[in-house]
Amino acid sequence: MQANLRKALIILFASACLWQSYQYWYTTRGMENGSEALASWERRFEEAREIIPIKRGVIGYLGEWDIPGTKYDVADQTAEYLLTQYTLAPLILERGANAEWNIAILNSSTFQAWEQEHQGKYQVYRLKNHVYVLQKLGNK
Amino acid sequence: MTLLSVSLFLIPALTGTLLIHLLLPERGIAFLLFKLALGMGLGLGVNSIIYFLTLLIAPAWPRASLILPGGLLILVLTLTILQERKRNTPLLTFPQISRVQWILLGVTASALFFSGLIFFNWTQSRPQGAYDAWGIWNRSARFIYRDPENWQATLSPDLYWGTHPDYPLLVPLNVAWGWSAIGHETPRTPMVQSAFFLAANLLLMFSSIYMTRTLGQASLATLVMVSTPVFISFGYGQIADSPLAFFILATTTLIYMYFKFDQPKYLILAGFIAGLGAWTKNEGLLFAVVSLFALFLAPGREEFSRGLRWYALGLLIPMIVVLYFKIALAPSSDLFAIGENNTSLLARVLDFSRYWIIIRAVVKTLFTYAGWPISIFIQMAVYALIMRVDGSKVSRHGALVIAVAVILQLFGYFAIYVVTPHDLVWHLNSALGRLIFHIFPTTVFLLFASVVDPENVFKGIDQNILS
Repeated sequence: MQANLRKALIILFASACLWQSYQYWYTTRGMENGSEALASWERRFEEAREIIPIKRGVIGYLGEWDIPGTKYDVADQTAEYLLTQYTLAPLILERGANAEWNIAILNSSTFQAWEQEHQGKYQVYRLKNHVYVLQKLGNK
Repeated sequence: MTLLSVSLFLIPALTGTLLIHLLLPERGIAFLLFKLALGMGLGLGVNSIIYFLTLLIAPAWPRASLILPGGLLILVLTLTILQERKRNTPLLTFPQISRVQWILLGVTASALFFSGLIFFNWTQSRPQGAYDAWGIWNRSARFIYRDPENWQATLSPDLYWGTHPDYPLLVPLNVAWGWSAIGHETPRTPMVQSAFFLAANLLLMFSSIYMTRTLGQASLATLVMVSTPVFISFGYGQIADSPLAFFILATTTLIYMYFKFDQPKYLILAGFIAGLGAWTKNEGLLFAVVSLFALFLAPGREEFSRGLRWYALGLLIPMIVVLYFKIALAPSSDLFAIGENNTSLLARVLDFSRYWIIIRAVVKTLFTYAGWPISIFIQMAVYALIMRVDGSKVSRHGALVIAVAVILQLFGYFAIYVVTPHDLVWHLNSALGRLIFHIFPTTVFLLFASVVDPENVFKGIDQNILS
């Protein structure tokens, strides 16, 4: 009795494993191409890399989570921060716009609100796709 | 780029295999596969240490990072040829394979085929790897590759804590080394390293069970690994969890071999490999410590002092590197910062509601683990219950040490969750599955090293067919 149970168990176990492999493969067919989003994120910063003259050291980073009163999703903001850090390595991105060179990723209205509060303090380079390079003035 | 990356990583993998062959000259197909699996991990680990030392000593001389591994391969190859000349026995002997074994091998090969397709689909969809790949590991590799003279910027305390600048460097150093050798930053390099560790995990599982038990049992153990969705999901991701799972599995299988064959060389190697685990992730550092405790707790006192000496000897060299890195270079870990809501470490330790939250999360994860309809741990428990331990074939001391090491590792993870300064629920959701994955291959090994094998169960059938 026990011998038959063991035989059945091995057959069942091996079949379940094979079926699971097949099922998993089936679900991965035609997966969406997540890399395209990452590659396009990297392309967004090509111009910024040319403008920022330093190739190492600390630059500032402004996201929507740094602007008081702005609604944002923490997970999205964290991912954008990490992606930008990955893209601009080996520059170190520190939250805030306190460095001489800073990068901001803000939607138009949020950037306008921020700019009004900081008029005359930064030279602003407006790039495509809501990317801004901010050079702090009087800090050279 | 893929072929170039494969060829590059073959240099350390081959060096590692030959180094292990010099230490373990045993013959036979199972031993050969075992040496190949261990060699892949050992070689990549040693390669990253060589590159680390090169960066420390001569960052402006990038050619050293290629000359040294190449030179080491030539040296080890020469020593191997000299050693092999003295031997008369063939390197490979193929066993007779029974019908049951062929069937199990066939099923495992089919699952392997599907897993290869799954790996391909994932890497096509996410060539830059999982979230943590670009957030942590390849981010670090870019810092090293793009500015080798200032590579220590990857450890800057100014970096956002979520990029984990304090993490050890085995994985990113190998990626940066690959890019530096190719002269181009390509996602194929971290992808190939992931594939190497994935293959090494499977090969190690297969060969270690084959060495200690039977071919059918080895096929079943490999089948469980390869058909478990999280194994491929973590494996493709260009992150350090699959390499760490490999180093933990390699350490425990070598400890098991030591108790099974009573040869100290296994324990020296186990110590060295555990050290490479500590060079892979902080959780590997925890494992290096708990595996020492496991050796201390499990067998008798005499075994302890003898075994521990060999193990510590092996651990020494990689741990010097790890401790130098941790003490002199890396910033402090985010785990010991002031907690959210300004809670102190002591306040977190004394907050017993945290313990309950952790226990509930662990139980829930274990009962739904690995992407199977029924948790793989439940399936393995049922399998063990029906198949029963084969007392005549299992090394009780070896199994005990592994079980103690796994339990201590889980306690260590528990303690980390108690003190974590981050939001506890978020931290559990984001990392618990990955932590359990670190010990998953080892639990599969422990199960299949212990229970009755399929050859025994189907003995009558094979005998009838053969007669």
